[in-house]
Amino acid sequence: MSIPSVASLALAVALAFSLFSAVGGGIAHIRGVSELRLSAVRAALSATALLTFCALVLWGLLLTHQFQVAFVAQVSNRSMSTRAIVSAFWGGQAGSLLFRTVMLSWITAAVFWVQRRRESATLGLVLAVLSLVESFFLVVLLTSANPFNVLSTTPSDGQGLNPLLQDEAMSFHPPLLLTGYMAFTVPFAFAVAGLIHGEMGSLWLKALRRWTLVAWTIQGCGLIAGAWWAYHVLGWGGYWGWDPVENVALLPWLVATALLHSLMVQERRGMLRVWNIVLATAGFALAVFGMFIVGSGVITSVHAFAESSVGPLFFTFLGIVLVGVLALIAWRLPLLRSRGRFDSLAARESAFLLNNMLLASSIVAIFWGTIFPIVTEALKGAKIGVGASYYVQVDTPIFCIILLLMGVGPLLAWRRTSGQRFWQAFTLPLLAGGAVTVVLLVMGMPRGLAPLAYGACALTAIATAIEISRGAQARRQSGDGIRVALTGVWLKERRRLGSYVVHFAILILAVGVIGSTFQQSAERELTPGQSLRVGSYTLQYVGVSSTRGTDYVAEAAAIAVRHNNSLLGYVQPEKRVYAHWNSQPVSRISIMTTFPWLDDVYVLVTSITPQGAIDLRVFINPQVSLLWIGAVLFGIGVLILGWPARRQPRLFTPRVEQGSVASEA
Amino acid sequence: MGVRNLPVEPYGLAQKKHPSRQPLSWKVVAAGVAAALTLLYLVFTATKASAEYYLTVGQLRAKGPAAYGQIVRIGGRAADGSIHWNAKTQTLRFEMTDKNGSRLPVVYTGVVPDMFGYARDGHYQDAIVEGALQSDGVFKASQIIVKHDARFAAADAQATAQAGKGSGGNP
Repeated sequence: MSIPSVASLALAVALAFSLFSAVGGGIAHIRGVSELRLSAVRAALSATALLTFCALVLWGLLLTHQFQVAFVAQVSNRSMSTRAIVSAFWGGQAGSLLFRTVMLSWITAAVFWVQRRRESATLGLVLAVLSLVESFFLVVLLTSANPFNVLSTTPSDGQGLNPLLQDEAMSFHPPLLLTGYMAFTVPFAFAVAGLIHGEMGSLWLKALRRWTLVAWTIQGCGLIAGAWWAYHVLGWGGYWGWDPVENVALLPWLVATALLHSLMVQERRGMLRVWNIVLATAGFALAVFGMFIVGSGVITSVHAFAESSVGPLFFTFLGIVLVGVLALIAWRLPLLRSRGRFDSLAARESAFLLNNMLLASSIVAIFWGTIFPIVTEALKGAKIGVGASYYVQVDTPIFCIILLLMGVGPLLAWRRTSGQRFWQAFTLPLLAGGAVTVVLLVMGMPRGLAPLAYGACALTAIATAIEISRGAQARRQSGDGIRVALTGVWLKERRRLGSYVVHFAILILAVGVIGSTFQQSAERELTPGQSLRVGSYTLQYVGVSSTRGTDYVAEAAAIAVRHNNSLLGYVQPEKRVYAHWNSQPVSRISIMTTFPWLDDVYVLVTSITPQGAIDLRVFINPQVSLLWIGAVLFGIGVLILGWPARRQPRLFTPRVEQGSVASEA
Repeated sequence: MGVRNLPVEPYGLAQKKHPSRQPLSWKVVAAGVAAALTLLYLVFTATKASAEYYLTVGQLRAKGPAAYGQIVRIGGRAADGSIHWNAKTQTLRFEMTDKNGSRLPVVYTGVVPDMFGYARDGHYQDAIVEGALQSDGVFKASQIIVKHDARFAAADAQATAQAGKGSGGNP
């Protein structure tokens, strides 16, 4: 038996295991059979092991050039570097589906491992739902996109990947996003399990929040890694283009952002319970929708795989999920009644509600723009799409208000805020924000949303800083020194501090985004010695030299960058010709970030003549480097937020569930 | 049965203490309606302002003079051997063609996406051009997007979109 067919068999067995785990886990929960419950868990873990085996096999086949396997012949060839071959795993539809399924099975194992001592009431059902979703993916793999299918004749070499996809970023950006997509299954599984079980207690809520945070973080990192890649590799001077496939990756992240906030309202006030179930489901549904868009070719996107048969399968699955959850909600509606009510508009929960309305609006708007070509084709018979300007027009005002709300919300108390206390806290941020806007206008920034948006950022930054120092002060008054007070905030209110750090990160990202709208660009043909002026920068072409890499030859142009006549340094954009892609040179961008202006001087050469003349294209992108700084801070914030708390003995609230789990263990 | 008499719902008590404070749910509903209306308005105007037809070469040809000046996206690929690049003027000229063999002369100024002129099996990559048909019958493209076939189109989210995006199409 050949290795590929062993792997196919392993997939089939994994399907059997995960189906058993789904059905068995469900029955075990309803009937309360603990032996069955145990074997369901074991079946799920066995499926994880089998899928891991399949992944290793596929990597083995790729690295040893087994071109009789159709997928291997499609995405790899002999001249590709080992790193590029390793990431060719997700370079085609079948492999990326396998990767997703493997990640889901790992996530399932992780959920079991993390939750087994924390939440026992719904865990069995959660695992059953996860196994059910895993089974669906295995069915898709086995029926329409099996990466282990073998060709009738073995080609001598494979086709390989586009050089642009052989970039380093291929090693982490797609796997992050694919894992992120799959991670949205967990909040969904908790929502469904909670509905079926009929009891959604505080441990369930904590678990839902924990796994929403996980999915949100992974997807967030995947999105920013994608922006980084687009910016550093693709040479159009931007990092986000509102392409349908970018949109569908952003949508579940926005849903998770909304959910993380509205879950706090449920935690504190027992409200928005139906809404939270809806959001958890929407996150998953949009993740599946995203995969459906990538997999089906229904929407014109350069990302989309050529038309394939997986589209209808995803669509059917999506329909079943939505109808199923709606039925469950209808069935459990009496249990989902709100336990509190909105007492005042000037209250934390109202701010969260507004935040959710705004996020929901942006989600609806982006979704509408993305599916617009499908809608118009169905209704009018003509495909009509919307360009990037649509998203800019609709989302800019929404995101500006969200920025503002990010500063105002934390200053509001739960239930009700007295006007006096609010203004006490709000005056300074408001003045700072106003001052920034006025100063920018006086300095000659064109009127429009940008000065206001910068003002909103300043307001929110000050408000957030005040909130952090307030927490420290409160502890200081209780007798601790300032250092103890600050570390005290760190330890005791990790979650609050973490979320403020994330808010700061979002602010820095926002400043980067606003700054990048002031892009300037120029392009010209230059001979050695000639220069090109863009904004306050002068770029002088010095000369061209040849270099050689492992699998390419390159011509690099040396260009001196000057700011108001003082030399800042040199950039060296390249034109590379890869061994396997003879006919087509690839541009290699060179970026210099200038200090203290934080402008990115973004340079690429579009062609080099034999006589040594170059076509130079230059973008000056203000503040884009803040995006990457914000991303790092985002990661730090999430680490603070999600770092598992040291479990302390609970003296005042010994919880029944915890007691029972502890006695089991 | 005695449980029924206990205040199970702590907020119930709180509300009894403040009978004058009516629940603000109507305000919430009003805010929601206002937000929804604003959103509808924004979406409607923005959709109208940025809508563009996705056509094949044949469909554009069939429209005749009605298509002059209208911003559209045309799907197809460059006809074999039709690509001419003038480095001096940074001008690209080629003919778009579709499955039925209709042809459309295209002119484009700016940076040509890396993969545009890459031929495989003797044919150029599928591409999308955005722009408008001029009255001289030449399509003036503001953006060229190269569509990759399955093996190029990794399951990534960002990259290849911009891979194809000619920088000429920046907003």
